[in-house]
Parts: sequence; structure tokens; C-alpha cells
Amino acid sequence: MKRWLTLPIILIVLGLLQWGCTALLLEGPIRQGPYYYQILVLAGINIILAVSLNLTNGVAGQFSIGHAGFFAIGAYIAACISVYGGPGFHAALGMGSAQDGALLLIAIACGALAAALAGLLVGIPSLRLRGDYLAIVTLGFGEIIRVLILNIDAVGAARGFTGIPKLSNFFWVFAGVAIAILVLHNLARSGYGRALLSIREDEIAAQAMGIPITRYKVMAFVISAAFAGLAGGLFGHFTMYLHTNSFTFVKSFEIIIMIALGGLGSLPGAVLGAAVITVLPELFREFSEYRMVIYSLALILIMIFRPQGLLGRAGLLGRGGRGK
Amino acid sequence: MALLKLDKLTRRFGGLTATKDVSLAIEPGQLFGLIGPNGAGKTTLFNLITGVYAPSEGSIEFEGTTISGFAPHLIASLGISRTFQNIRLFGSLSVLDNVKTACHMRRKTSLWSSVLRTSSFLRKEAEIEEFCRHLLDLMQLGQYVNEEAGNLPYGHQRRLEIARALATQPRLLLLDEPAAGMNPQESLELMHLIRRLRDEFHLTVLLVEHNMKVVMGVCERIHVLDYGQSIAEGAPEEVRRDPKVIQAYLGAE
Repeated sequence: MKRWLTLPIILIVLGLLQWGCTALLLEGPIRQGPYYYQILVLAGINIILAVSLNLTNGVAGQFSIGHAGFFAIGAYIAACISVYGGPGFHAALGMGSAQDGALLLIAIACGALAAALAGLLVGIPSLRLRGDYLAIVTLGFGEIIRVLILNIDAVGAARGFTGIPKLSNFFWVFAGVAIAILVLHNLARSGYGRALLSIREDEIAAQAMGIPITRYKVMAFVISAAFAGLAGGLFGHFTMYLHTNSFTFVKSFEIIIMIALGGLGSLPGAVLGAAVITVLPELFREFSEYRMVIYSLALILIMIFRPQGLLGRAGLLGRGGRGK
Repeated sequence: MALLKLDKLTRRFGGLTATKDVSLAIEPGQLFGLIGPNGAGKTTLFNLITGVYAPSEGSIEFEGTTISGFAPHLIASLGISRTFQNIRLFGSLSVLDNVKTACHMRRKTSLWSSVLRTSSFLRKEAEIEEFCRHLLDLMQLGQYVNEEAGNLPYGHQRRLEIARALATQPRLLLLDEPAAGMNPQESLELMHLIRRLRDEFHLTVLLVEHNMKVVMGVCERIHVLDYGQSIAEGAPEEVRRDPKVIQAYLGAE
């Protein structure tokens, strides 16, 4: 099996799609092309957020409700790198699309790393405890991050962070989607994935089977935070503008709804949920003020009629996402 | 040297003393029974040995190392595994995955090789799969590998718990009422199975059981608890005739 070919092939396909998108949607004959393009890219970013939160909430069974906080950290740190480091970077290495790509990768890596670090700091104390503490701590954390950013002048404070170079596009976002899905899918069907599932199922039994539950919960939480940070970096460099309004707890809830809709613990479910939750509000633009009402209703209806989510626990390969 | 040695082990829950000054020693290879009326402290003792609770007083030695106060996963890694009285399987995982999970500790791959699915990772996964299927065949669960564990009948779930405990490759196996809910025929088979496992895996077994037929039939040495205290220890026949034991079970005359 030429497994190592998977990623290069995906990247080539994405390159072609990017070219197609540019020709068709951005410069092409479709009247609302750029609008569709934007939705497509935002859906990709939401997919990364959903599949990453799925690792903590779905696979490991720890209820985190502050994912937007990690998303924000990734977005602002990455934006800082390219806004404040970009001119120096280009002065040293020149302009060009290759340099742009390199700058984006560095910025995103820093954003993801910062988010992972934040995840570690939040996770270590709160994941030692059993029960709802993680939910409480992550909820508070998300808000603290938002209010903190709101008061830092260097990143625009309440005015919003402007002047971020447009480095990200369909190609980069969906390359991120591909990497996130590959990594999380492989992780889920390894011994680590089974260990995380066992923690979700029964912590005491998991411990008795030699699984260091706190360490593994923190590991899952950190990986999940890192991918949220990565999504943030891609987001900021696509919209070219960041405001804390994009990172409120409403955003965190949106991500939870995505994975609950698709089916907690199911990777394809998270992808589907993210796509649906991105596209639906666009279809119902005229009812946008009722969005939260509809979300809540949708969540209640799912809990009543299909508590396992749309796809249940389906994995990429057969039942339960456990591979063969 | 004793494999497991409990020295004056005491555990209090607030004002309640669940076990008091329990001392016992289990020799390697022994089938050791722990009996006592309901509430005698048998399961508490199990939870102390496996690290679920820390002892209030006293110490636990395993192969000469003091393990009292260790985290449960560390104790498991030293070679003590257990089953649970109120079955604790990973209910929505497949039968095979339940056993595979317990292999993780001994057959770990690095996080990177797991994510990249390197050939060494795939080799190890195949190894784990083979080992687990072997264990499941041994426990007569071979035909249920892809079944959801929570859907198995009760007796099968008990056997799956044993298979999962064996997958950690323990030296000391603690069985908490393995025959509970089994009919006489199943209990008889279980007795043979426990003996066979002991011989095949060179195990030492500590068994809590209410079914006296099983305990007397399989154990070489029996320790009796009542109200958290040791009241007798010896070979099955001695314990059976011990007046204190009779009194604990049947009341005073």
C-alpha cells in the first residue's frame, strides 16, 4: 500500500480545485460566485473546528464548551505574526506566492502552538477532576480570552484587528481540513483512540486496565486545541479582519451543535454537522435574528428524536469508527 | 516470598471502618479465596489493592514493593489486574476493542507512528489483534468479536471482563464475584477455566465469591472477613469447620 501518497494526492486535487474555484466562482460567470466561495471556505474552517472538538467531546467524552477560545488564540497569534513579522519576512526573503505560503505556514504553526499551550494550561488542572468541572472552566476560559483580546490595543481591541494579509484561500483551508481529518481519524483507530474511548465509557475500568486517564484526557484536549488554533490562523488570513464578536460563547455552542447534530464521536458526523450548520443560516438569511432560537430548537429536537446524532457513531470505515 | 502482602490494612469512610487491620499474604501461583458475608469489606479490599482507594493505615506490598497510595494505572502496570463485581465493560465498544484497550499499556506505539500509521505501528496492531483474538477464543467469545460489549448476555460479559483483565498480562488477577448470576453448570465451567488460566498464564489468583461451591472447589487457601476484620484463614476444610466462620454466616446458637 502506498499510504504515504494519500496526502500528496489530496493536495494536488485541492490545487486543481482551487484553480477551478478561481476560474469559476471568483472570476467566472456565476453572479454570486465570490459569495459561494466564501461559504465554502468558512465551511472548511468550521469542519476543522468540529472534528477537533469531536476528539475531546465525542471520543474522550469530556465536555468542553470553550472551543472558540482556542480558535481566537490561534487567529490572533497567527495574525500578529503576519502583521508584525510579515514586512520583515518579506524584506528578507522577497515577495511572491511561495513566500506568502511560507509566511502563512509559520503564522498558523505559531497560532496552533499557542492554542495547544493554552489547552495544556487549562487542561491540566481541570481534567484531573471528574464531572462537569471542565465545562465550567472552559466556558470561563473562552470568555476570559475574548475579554482579554478586547482590551489589547496592539490587536485592535474593540475596533477589531485590521490589515491582516490575505494569505489563506480554499486550497490552504481544505489542506488543513485534510490534515485534521487524517490525523484525527488515524488517532481514533490507534491504541490512543481506544484508550480515549475507554475513558469515555468507564474511567475506573480504564484506569484498572493501565490507562493513565488524566494524561490522556489532557493529550486529547491539547490536540483538539491545537487544531482549533490552526482553524483560527486560516480564518484570520482569509477574512483579513478579526473581531472578538466572532469568538463569543455562541461560537463555542455552534461547534457543539455541529458535532451533536452529526453524532458525537463520529468523524463524518462532525464534517456533516459543520457543513449543515454553515450552510443552513445562509439559506435562511431573512430569519437570521431567530438563529439562536432555531439552534436551540434543533438541539432539543435532536436530543428527543435522534440522541445519537444524524450519523450515530458511524466512523469512516464501518461501525463505530474503530477501523477493522 | 509472598507475591502480595497486606499488612494491617485499614480503610475508614468517615465514621465507618470498612476494613480493619487486615493482614494476609498470597504466595505466587496460589488460588486464594476471600469470603465473608455481605458488607464484610471484600470489595473495599480489592479497591485498596488496585489503588481505587488509598488505605487509611497499613501497607500493601507487591513483589516486595510498597504500592499503597499508587495510582490505579501504575498498579496495573506492575502486574495487578482485576474484574469488577458490577460489570464495568466499555459498553459501546466492540468485544475485540474492549480487550485491545487493555493491551495499550504493554504494547504502546508512539503518538507519531500511530498518526502516520507506520509499518511498525501496523505490525504492532496486527500483533495486538492476534493476541486479543487468542484470549477471546480461550474465553469462548471468539464468535462475538464484533459484537457491542454491552449487548452480550450477562455470563459472556463476565468472561469478557476476565479476557480484558488478562490482556494486561498480569501476574496477580483479582476476580470480584466472577460466578455471580451464573447457573450451577456455568459456575462449574468457570471453576475449571480459572484453574486452566492459572496454569497457562502462570497467574496468582485472588478470588472474591459468594458461591461457596466455587470457592471451596477452586481455592487452595481461604481468608474470611466479617465486619471488615479477619476472622479465619486456612485450607477450605479448616475454614468450613471453623466455629467463627459458621457463626458469621449462620449467626450464634
